Amino acid sequence: MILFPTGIQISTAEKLCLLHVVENPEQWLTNSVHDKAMACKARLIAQWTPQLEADPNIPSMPGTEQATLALIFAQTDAKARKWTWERKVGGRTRTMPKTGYRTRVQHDAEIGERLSTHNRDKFAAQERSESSVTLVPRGIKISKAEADCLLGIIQDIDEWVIGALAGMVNRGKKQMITQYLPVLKADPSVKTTPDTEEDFIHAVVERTEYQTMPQQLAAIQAAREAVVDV
Amino acid sequence: MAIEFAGFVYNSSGVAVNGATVNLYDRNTTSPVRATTTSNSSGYWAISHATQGRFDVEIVNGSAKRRIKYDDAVQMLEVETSIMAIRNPANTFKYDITGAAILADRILTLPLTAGTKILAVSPNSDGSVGTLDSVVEDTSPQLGGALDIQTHAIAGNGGTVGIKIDSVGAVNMAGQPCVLAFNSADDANQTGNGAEATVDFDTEVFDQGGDFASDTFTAPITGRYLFTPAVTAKGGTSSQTLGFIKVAASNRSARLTFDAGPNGGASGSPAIGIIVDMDTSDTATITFSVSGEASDLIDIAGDGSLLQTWLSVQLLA
Repeated sequence: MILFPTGIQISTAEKLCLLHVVENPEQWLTNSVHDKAMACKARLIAQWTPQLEADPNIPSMPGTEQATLALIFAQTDAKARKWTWERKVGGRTRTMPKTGYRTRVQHDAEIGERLSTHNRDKFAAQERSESSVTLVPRGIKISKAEADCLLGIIQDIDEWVIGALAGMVNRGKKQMITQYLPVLKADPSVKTTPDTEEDFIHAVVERTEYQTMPQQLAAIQAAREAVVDV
Repeated sequence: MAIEFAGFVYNSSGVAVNGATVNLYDRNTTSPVRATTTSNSSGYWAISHATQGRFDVEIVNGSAKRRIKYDDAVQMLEVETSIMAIRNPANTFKYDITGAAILADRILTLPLTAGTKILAVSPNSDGSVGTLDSVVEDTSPQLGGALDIQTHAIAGNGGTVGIKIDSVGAVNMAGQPCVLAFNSADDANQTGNGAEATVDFDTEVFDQGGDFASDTFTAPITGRYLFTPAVTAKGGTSSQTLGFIKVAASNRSARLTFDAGPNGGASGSPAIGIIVDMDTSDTATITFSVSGEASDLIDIAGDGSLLQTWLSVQLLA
């Protein structure tokens, strides 16, 4: 499946904030989703393994992660009512009802948890006065297996992606401000500190000494290659 | 480890001197004799001395004497060599440093015993003792003892901030995620009839790492994060019943329900604390809800100086 098939619109200043802290924003965001899917897979397997191992109907645990996940997703409540299993918690043995697999949304709906749209709402409400650029213009491609793992742990993949993106934009912006506000204030050629964050970001990147993260990394690499091996 | 002294004694005709006395003294002294021996028929003599130090050897043959100075540290104005070979005393390893161009900034890379590991040292431009720049490509350098950090700082990942150890042993971690934010003004009509409000923390006291914005904390790395939110509410009536405060993180939510009434007026959540497992780029917000009122007439309190509604976050592990 493809997330955000037409990309994500962000402002030029937001793109610059990303470039202050990551080498390749598109690659970073794409890798972040894949990394999160891997983390969710590990969480699902860790969460379900005790119950599966205790299940008398499962003679042995599958040998692969893929098969283990298939088994997890196949667990239904119909089987759950037939038996309980024991789990040792803090030295005590507790009788646990067997439960069927639910996605995070299904689980939250059962206990009255709302579906959060906070990240997307805040991101959409962000004022962007300048021209926008498209991040990941062809979207982020993930496999069905990755999507299944993600939805076992988090409520909504798009919500997570926007949260990750907004968080990194904010991190880059704050680091840029922390790093360059003293520089601009100390520079006699800068008459007034820019009023808005967007203007501040542009003022920083226009400085001759400023380097984006990819520029910094390229400079470090060039310096390393210049060291003569003996 | 013993120091070995050895040599040959010949007379002016080039004939080996048998029976010459060889005495070992501390450097620039004439007594006591630390060790003594005599040369053999080949003129050969040898002394093994157990104590490290700086010594002179005196060779006496009849009325003739000669002193030779032996130092375990040699100082020279200049050494010119194409290859510098370094061996350990047991001669179990040897590696050569071959002369190569030294850059203008005087960085010289020296090969360590493992072939791909490089130690880079930069002298100062005036030739005085410089700094150890980096240990490149050694992913797990090991120390045999304590690391004495003169500047009390360990910087990570190419950065300039890191762990700072004060002279009394107190530790600061300038890049460790740590946030304190609060609500600076009342937010009206947020809940009361069961609405779940995302709590507004519009003012940051500190945000170490830049991980907080738009009432949302975004985890910079996978880890265990301590959340300690608290919410003060006001404007309710005696109708209010139950409330809850929730840490809503990507992987899981933690919701604490409390008795909100029937006092009316001011109420609020207990301050809760929970350690949440978060993956890189996961987010977390705080939500608050009160039920029992006919409408959402309850405000979430805020003040510019007295913290009433706050959130603190810290990466613990």
